[in-house]
Amino acid sequence: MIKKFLILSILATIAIVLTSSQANAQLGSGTGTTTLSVTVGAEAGLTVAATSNLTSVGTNFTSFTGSTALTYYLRTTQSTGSGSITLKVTTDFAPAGGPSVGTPPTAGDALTYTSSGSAPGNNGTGAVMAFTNVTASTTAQTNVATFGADNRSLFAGNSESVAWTLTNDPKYKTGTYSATVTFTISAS
Amino acid sequence: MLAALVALGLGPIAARAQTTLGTQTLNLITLPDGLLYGFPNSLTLSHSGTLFNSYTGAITVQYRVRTTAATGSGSITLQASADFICASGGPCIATPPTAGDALTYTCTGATLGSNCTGTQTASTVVATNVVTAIPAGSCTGGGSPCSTANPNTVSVNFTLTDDPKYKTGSYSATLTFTISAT
Repeated sequence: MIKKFLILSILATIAIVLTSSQANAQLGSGTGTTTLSVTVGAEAGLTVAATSNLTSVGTNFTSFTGSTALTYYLRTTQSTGSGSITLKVTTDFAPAGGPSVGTPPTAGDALTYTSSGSAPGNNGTGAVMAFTNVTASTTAQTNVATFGADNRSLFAGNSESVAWTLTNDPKYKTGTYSATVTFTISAS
Repeated sequence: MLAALVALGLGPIAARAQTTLGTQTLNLITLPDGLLYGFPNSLTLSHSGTLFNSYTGAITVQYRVRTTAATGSGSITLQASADFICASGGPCIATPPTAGDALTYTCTGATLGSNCTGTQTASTVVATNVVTAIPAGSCTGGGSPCSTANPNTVSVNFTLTDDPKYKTGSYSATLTFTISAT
């Protein structure tokens, strides 16, 4: 009777252990998978030289000229996207007595530019990279380049350049004058 | 019910304690084993900033492991078992759109074994390390000689290049983690 009970007890214990073992096995696995997801959206960025100097070559009041180089990185949305690079004179020339974008000393004085550059290297369909003789403004953004849908730059970026022309008005007092131009790139 | 059986059984056993019924040796053979627990089904990579910062994300892998005394070892690896749909123009592990594009990861905080070394590049053809050098005689949980942590954990921190060449859209890949023990 006792022996039978002990045997039953041992069997019960073994059964419990086996049941426990099976339960643990269901909690884990030797492998596991996870789905890695990423949503790639439109985005854009650019780098631009901090300083561009304008100089006049010759003595007969030829205009001051200079250029600014940009590197842009861009991705626009497939089918419906677009983008642009624009510029605006956010701080006019200073000190007073020299050129002025906002209030030219003489009618016809102006800071103008012509842009040019390479279309996005991984599809530049619809991109316009050149704008000619655009007058810079302190109040409005003006185009440097515009982009179409699904435009994508190279990983190392693509280049764009702005060639400046500033009237050399004899009215300007001698001196050194500085203005700040802000470039903005956008993509949707 | 079980408690009742035990209570009933202990009485007779005590009363006849002087009677030897025989002895039995119970042998337990534990084999090396490893299991991954609480595994996350998905991980979304994201990024901040606008100048093509890489996409990042992290998951914590939970594991339990037992290795053979003296000679055993263990490890956790991962492999991209399903690539992004490369033909869609997005990221691609097997054939990166641009040289240098990659899905990479680092491993931190392994509570048993060693973190993978440096920055690993995920692959569709070979399994790469997540946790290495799980020592012989290791086991998870309960304190010495096993680990204090139960389960053991390791964090895997992913980075995916944000190449301007990628077309806009949503892309998915599948990563398979494997734990092994000897």
